[in-house]
Amino acid sequence: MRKITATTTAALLAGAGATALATPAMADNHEATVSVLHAVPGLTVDVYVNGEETVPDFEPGTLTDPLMLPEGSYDVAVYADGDDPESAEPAISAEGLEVPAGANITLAAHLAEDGTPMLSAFVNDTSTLDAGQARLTVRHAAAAPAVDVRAGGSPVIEGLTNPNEEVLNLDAGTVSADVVLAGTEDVVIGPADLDLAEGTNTIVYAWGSAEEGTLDLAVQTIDGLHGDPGGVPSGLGGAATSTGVLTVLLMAGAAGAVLAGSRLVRREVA
Amino acid sequence: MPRTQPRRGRFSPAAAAALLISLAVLVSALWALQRGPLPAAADFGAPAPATPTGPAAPGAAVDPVPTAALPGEGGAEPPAGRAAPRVAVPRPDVRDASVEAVGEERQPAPTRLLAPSLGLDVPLDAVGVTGDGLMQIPEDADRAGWYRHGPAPGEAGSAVVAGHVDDLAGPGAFMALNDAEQGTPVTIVREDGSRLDYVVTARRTTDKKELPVDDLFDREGEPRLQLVTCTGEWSERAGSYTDNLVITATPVP
Repeated sequence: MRKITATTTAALLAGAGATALATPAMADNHEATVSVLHAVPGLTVDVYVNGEETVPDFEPGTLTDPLMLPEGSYDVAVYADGDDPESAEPAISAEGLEVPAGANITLAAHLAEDGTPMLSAFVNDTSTLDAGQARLTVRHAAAAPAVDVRAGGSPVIEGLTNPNEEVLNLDAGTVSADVVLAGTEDVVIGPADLDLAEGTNTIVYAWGSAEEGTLDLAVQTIDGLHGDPGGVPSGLGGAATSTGVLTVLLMAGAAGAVLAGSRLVRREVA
Repeated sequence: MPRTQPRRGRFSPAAAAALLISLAVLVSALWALQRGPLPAAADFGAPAPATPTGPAAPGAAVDPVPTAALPGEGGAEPPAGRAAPRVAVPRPDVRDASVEAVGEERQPAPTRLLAPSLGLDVPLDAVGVTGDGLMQIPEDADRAGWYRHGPAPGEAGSAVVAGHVDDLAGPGAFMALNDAEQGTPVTIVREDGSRLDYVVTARRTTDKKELPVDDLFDREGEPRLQLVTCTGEWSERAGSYTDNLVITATPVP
């Protein structure tokens, strides 16, 4: 296995602190939220952070719970399961990853488009959603060319390439999603029913290898991003309540009553 | 269909029906027009328990992992850019990330709200938000809406059920909430037939513009049921009542 030093990844992380992703509760105590995703098919690994074994026996298609880490600089090395870090070369490593306070990050071990293992640090969008909305993040982490993502058969994301992402805010609900080769109808993953829960960022990773037939989806969710409704219009909040409408109804009712009544009376008299 | 000639001096069903319908329209229009302030009663009880935190921390619902202990704790943290601090990173739990593994267990949806002592028995619709970001309310004032994006009754946080206090046809089912008192029993019937019993613990009347939505729609803290309708003066200009009435009920232990 080749050693990949993720210098570009480290640069990506360093920039994260400047974006609007800091969450108030976490900025106070100088911590970041870091999850780790294993998306390299066919290889159980041990993940070492700062030289300590942090995620042992980590299997493909699994995800850690979020770790709260103090802001700072971290060394990450991924070894084949059981390899001794004293002697073995890591399968993937990244040194000096800057983890800024307040950021919510997913560190993903995955394949590059050409099939070599790599690490990407994705910054998760944890900004508050409007009430009723869900966020869908799609990340291309597979050894595969550009893809389109379709929901209910129509493309919602087009031309997504490894290792990039797209983020959409949608009405909450379940969508039937599939992944096709960009610009084609060739389904490479899915369809799968995705429950896009309200107030939640549902992060979908396309991972695996097209060549080896191991393409699949992995899903991470970050909840608690909901907004509240602006109010409760519980007393005829609609538009049909103006005096004008009511007056017309009143007149119509009265006129109808008079007419119908007079007909009744006239018949009886006649 | 052949129509029989109305006979002289006899009762005409068609004309009588027309008269009845006209009278119904007249009465409901009169109801709506002469609408004054709704019956109101004094507030009571402590406000609903609020979650003491500010905005919910993203990811707060997942199990928090204890902070890693820094070596030489209490000292200043090294500025970013220096050599990596040797932080002891705790081992996180690992979960299946497949599509099938996603989704959380939810409590059964509520389908009916009962408060026999108030004469209240109202079917519930699962509702979301309107296009302008307000909570949806069933148009039919004989039904009420449960805010399906928030907690279901039985889950942590505030389950919100709201109904119109009236409509063009007259008073709505939730008019009865005006008579709610401390200790009034309230029951939620759920889609699986199970029941959850509550008692009323608080009533608040707030200007609609000042409705504490962050507390009302709180998704954390003690399980509670909050019933919302309108009250106060009818505002002709706004086309709505001025105030919200919020009844808080807590589970019977």
